[in-house]
Amino acid sequence: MSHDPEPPTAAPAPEDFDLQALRDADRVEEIKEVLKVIANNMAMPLYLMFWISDILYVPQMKWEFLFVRMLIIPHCLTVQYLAKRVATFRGAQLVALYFNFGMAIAINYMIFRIDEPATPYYAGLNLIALGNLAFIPWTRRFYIAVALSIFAPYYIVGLLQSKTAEDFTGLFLNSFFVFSTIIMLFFIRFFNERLRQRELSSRIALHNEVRNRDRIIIEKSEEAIRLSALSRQFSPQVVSAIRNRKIDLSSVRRSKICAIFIDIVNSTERVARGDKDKIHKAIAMFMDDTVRTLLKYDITVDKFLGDGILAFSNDPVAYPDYVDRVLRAAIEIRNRIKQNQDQYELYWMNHLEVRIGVAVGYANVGFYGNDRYYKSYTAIGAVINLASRLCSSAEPNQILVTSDVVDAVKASEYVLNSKGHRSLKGFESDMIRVYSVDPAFDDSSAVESTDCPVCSTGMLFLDTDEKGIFVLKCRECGHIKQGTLQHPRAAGAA
Amino acid sequence: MALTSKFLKESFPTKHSEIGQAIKGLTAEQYKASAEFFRKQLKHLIYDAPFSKRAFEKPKGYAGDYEMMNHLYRDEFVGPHLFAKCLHNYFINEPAGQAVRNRAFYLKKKLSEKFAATPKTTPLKFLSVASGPAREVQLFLETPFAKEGRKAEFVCLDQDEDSLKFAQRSIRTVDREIQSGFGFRFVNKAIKNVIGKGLDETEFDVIYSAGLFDYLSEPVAQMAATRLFNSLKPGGSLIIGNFNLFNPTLPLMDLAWDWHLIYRSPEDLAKMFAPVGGSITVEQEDLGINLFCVIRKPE
Ligand SMILES: C[S@@+](CC[C@H](N)C(=O)[O-])C[C@H]1O[C@@H](n2cnc3c(N)ncnc32)[C@H](O)[C@@H]1O
Repeated sequence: MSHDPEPPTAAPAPEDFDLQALRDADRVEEIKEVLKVIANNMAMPLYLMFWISDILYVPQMKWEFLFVRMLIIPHCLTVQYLAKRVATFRGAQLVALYFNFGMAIAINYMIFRIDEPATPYYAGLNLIALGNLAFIPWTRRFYIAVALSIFAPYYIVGLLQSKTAEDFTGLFLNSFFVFSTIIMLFFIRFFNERLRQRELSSRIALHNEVRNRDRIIIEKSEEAIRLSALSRQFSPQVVSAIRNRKIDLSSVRRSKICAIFIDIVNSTERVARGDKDKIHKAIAMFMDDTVRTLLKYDITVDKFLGDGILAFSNDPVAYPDYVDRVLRAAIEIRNRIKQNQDQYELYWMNHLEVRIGVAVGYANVGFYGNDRYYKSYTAIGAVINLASRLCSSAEPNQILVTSDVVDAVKASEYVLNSKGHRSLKGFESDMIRVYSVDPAFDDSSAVESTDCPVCSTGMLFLDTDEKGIFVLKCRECGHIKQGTLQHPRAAGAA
Repeated sequence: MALTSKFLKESFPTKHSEIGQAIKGLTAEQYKASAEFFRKQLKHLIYDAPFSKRAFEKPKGYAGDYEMMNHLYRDEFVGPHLFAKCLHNYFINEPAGQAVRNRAFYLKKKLSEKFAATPKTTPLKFLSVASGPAREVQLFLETPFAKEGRKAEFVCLDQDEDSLKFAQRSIRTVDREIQSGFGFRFVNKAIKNVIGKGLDETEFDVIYSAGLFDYLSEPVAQMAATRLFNSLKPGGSLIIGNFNLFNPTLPLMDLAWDWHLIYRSPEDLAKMFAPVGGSITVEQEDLGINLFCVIRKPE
């Protein structure tokens, strides 16, 4: 899925249909259909049927006219053949124009032969106009061209042949009918077209709506999956910030981070030798203790490597004390494991100890991985390898850090002992100065098992308020735990 | 000098009891504005007195550091000029200052009682939490109990290393003459460490703390007390000091020094520490300004 930063519901459905283009495609089909119907069901039978009027009206030319009328058959067949081939709206209109012109020229020829400008045969032209101008969805320009192709020859012939005043009057009278027909058909045609357009756009809207729904459903379910994956990596408050789109994780960025690598001492050997079930329990307990502590300090859990854990702070949420957070978490993890040692020994069948490496530096941070499978928020950079090397180089129960880490923390909180220079694999060109970290006080300012009753994601920490009073305060929502007693301040009057 | 001092003593208290009345019904904002105004107007007068200056500036981040305690115990006339000297002395002799001095005597008395109530062969162990100058230990060393050659250990816990060093030096100086044979230990820890993990040691006969719980909100105080209580011997007692609701110096502390405490009545203390367990009595020093909640662990 795309990491579209816009919430899917907030953005209206993108108008991905060009209404006009769609209507034009529609019109091509319409023209083809109309041509077929007119040619087969109207033009051919009517032309032949009107031969009866020839017999009655101009018996002297009945054979000639029959021949002319018969020409409608190849004309209709040609037109239908052409109609099948055209693909564009313009092409279809040209075919229809040709069809009209062909039919009209036959009638006009007969009018010419009758040599009577006021002949009622002009009504034939009106019939052609009726059938074609009304039913074929012409553009305005073609509409005019078609009208001209039908009636222009008639007027040319009529005007040339008119000799008497009577002739002119007859022609003039016919013109009333001709123009009325053209105008009326024009209104019918464009009123009809408006209806078609409207219907089309509501059809598109419906289609869009359906498609949009589908998209939202897909996106929502993908998001739900992604969020549950997120909660393995981020603290609940970060997950909710991501969900509310207060944090945008759509792009990979370069961040200064503090990376921490935690590994169980001698794990490979234990895993190979120990009872599988018990070892699994011990590792699960270790993961739980560790991840919970990391998330408490808003440290992002990057990945599990064997039974080691890689995590980093300062991204996606930046904290000025991001290095301190990591060291505090490291110390707390080590303490927790020591505190729970009885349980650990039960499963691990030995003393369980960890090594910890911490380094600071820049890394590329973002969602790496593939859309379809697991995508995780990962940091890539030398600082990660450095933390991992420091971890392998640490003694059991030791937290080993670089001098950059030492420079970035509140020194008074820790006992920092220089452990000399080391050459670490992958960093052979530099001798790296390393330090061990221990707490100055045996500190744990978070009070065990006191989740915030208000926001339920934060924890209560010991803090001082603006008056210097020690309180239990949630770092997340700022809630301060109150006692049950009321404390009216003494007025101080003696 | 004595005269000025006397004058201040006579005129000031009536004035600042009026302050108390005046600020009684103010909203938080009004109070803040009047505090600022008060400080601006009187800055050049009050903050020249060293006690006052330190109380307001809080170089250690909180008002009641051990140097403040030392000012109280020393009872001197110090300051850059005569008026400041007199004012300094006046301040430290305010009822609250007197009450703090009294509490060292009260605690000395409690230590003596424990000695008197137990057989001389029983070793004893005491802990002072937020010990500051540990004045009560110095005072106790001057009692006859210190010369009995009894086995006893005094542990001072404070978050401020300087404070511990000072206490250590003062106690050594006194003990050099007395030769009590007692053990003295100094632990550099903050109360949050105690709350977080409890004490490393147990089996204390008396654990006491004065000048700390006034800064702890109720839930925090309960947690701290529970931790401390768990480190007592059966039959031992936990003594927790707290300012009483009635403190004549409050307007001065609040308004001039921005020094805020939680004031609690004897009933408050009894109720607040009831969940800790043990039997509770509430006592007080001579002025009744400082209360002590005594929580006894059953035998
Ligand atoms: C007001 S003095 C009390 C000293 C002594 N108990 C007395 O009554 O004279 C407060 C002492 O508590 C220490 N203190 C303040 N906050 C503390 C904390 N959070 N944890 C441990 N000690 C603290 C200070 O360093 C100072 O020495």
